[in-house]
Amino acid sequence: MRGRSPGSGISPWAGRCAARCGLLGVVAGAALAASGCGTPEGNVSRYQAEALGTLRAAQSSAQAVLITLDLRLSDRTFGRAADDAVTGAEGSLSSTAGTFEALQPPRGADAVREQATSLLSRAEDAVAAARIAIRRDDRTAMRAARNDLATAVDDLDHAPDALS
Amino acid sequence: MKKIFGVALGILTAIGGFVDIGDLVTNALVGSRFGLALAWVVVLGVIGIILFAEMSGRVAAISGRATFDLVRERLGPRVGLANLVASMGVTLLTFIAEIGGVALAIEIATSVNEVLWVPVVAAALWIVLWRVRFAVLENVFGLLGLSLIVFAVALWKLDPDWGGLWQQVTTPRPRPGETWTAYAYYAVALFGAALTPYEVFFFSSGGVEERWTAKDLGTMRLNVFLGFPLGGLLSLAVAAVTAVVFLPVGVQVDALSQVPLPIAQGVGKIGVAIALLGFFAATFGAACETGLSVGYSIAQFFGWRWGKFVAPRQAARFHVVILLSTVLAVAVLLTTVDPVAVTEYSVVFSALALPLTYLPILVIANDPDYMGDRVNGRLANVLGSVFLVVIVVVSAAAIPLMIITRGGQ
Repeated sequence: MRGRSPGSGISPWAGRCAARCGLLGVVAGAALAASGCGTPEGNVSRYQAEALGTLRAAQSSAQAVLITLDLRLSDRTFGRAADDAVTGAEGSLSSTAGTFEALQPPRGADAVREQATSLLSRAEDAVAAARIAIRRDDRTAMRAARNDLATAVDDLDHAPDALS
Repeated sequence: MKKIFGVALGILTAIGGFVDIGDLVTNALVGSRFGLALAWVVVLGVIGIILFAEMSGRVAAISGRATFDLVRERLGPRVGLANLVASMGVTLLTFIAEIGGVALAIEIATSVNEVLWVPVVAAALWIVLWRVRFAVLENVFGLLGLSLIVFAVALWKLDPDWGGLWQQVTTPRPRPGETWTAYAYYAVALFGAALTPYEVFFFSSGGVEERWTAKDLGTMRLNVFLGFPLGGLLSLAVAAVTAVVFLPVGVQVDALSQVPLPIAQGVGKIGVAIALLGFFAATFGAACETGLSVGYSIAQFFGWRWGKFVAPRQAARFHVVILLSTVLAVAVLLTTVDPVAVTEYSVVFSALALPLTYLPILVIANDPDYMGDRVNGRLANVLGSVFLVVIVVVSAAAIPLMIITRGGQ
């Protein structure tokens, strides 16, 4: 019984360990919360909110690519700088879409998932086409990619109506 | 004439050296999300850094010793150690972010992935810190950093609705769709970016490197009172151009490569080239400052010889610390961690560490044993005390806000 506090049934070491584990748990929880990790969504409205947040982020990335394309078409920026901006936005869009697609949709939210993933997929395709055109410095392809991208951005802009 | 040149050079390098990766990223991001509704934080941060940089510069000029050289002696080893751990931890994080920032700036110019540039940048940085004289290092990168004035030129060329921008400044609240907690989180981040601990580490230690005396107080104050506010205007220009170009179309800046886009829109290719030079100079200069600051803080705490005013052989441990910090920074960045994410965390943790950095400055600047009759006046003490309260509040709010907003989401 050495080291055991009277009546508690738990040794001081175990108590300290439990306290440390508790502290570690709090720190780990805080770290997870800060890093944006979340559990699968539990209900349709939360899932819908998650979809809208994802589409807003996707709209931001796609719009950045659209601006870059316009600047490159008007020869106001360098090919390498444009390539880097588009590649960065593409990576961001891909990561955003991947995170959403990995979420388990609750029952009754399949239509939301389908619409959201369709919008994301179209935006990803348009951004990839823009990146290819910019790297090839192909003006015709850039103009074609710009039209597709403008449509994708417009669709993402109207996503709240489409998902409601 | 020589004196006027010296003063002008000091002010120019203070302006050019004011902006670092934290200011660039945070201001660009905040401008794209909140417009200029957080401009008041930049103003508040500039007032704070002016106040405490003047104090730490005065301590260096009068006592001939850097402020943090005196912390352990004046406040004891425990407070000294707490100060060292908190401030140096943040400075090291900032150092990593700055090296990543240099690599990102080169990536934008070359399209070669930043990870490949990290070892090259680190090697160049270490050679510069080892071989180049302090004054050359400070003046060259400070002057090149003035290239960031291109943000102000771009703002003017974009011909924005000035009334609309002013309305954002005078409406300090989140825009529709944004929450108060996100607004507060970015206020904390901007405050942390403006008052990063390394700035006072470097300023006071730099004063000793340059052998300031009481005669240099006037020049030092001109640098601080003119150079820092003008540097703060550069930060606001970064936020303003992203507010003009990105805010109306819903683009939220999440990469350094997006920051030159408004410049391209306003000024064109030549502007992009100047901006990239400015990014490189600002981040490389700040990497030099933070690298030296890590060495300063550890060497000063343990009472080792330090600084670039002595030969490297005479300050071997100081240079070993810099070398090891550089190796650590490379190791962290080679994990492919996003330098922009490191920057965002560094400015928030900077806010967390602020009280442990700034309280000792206030205490030492009031100690007649070190300062003689050059102790703080009443105004400096009142403002310093008020600021400390603000700093404590910001520090206490930093981590809860980070958790609540999931890192500003």
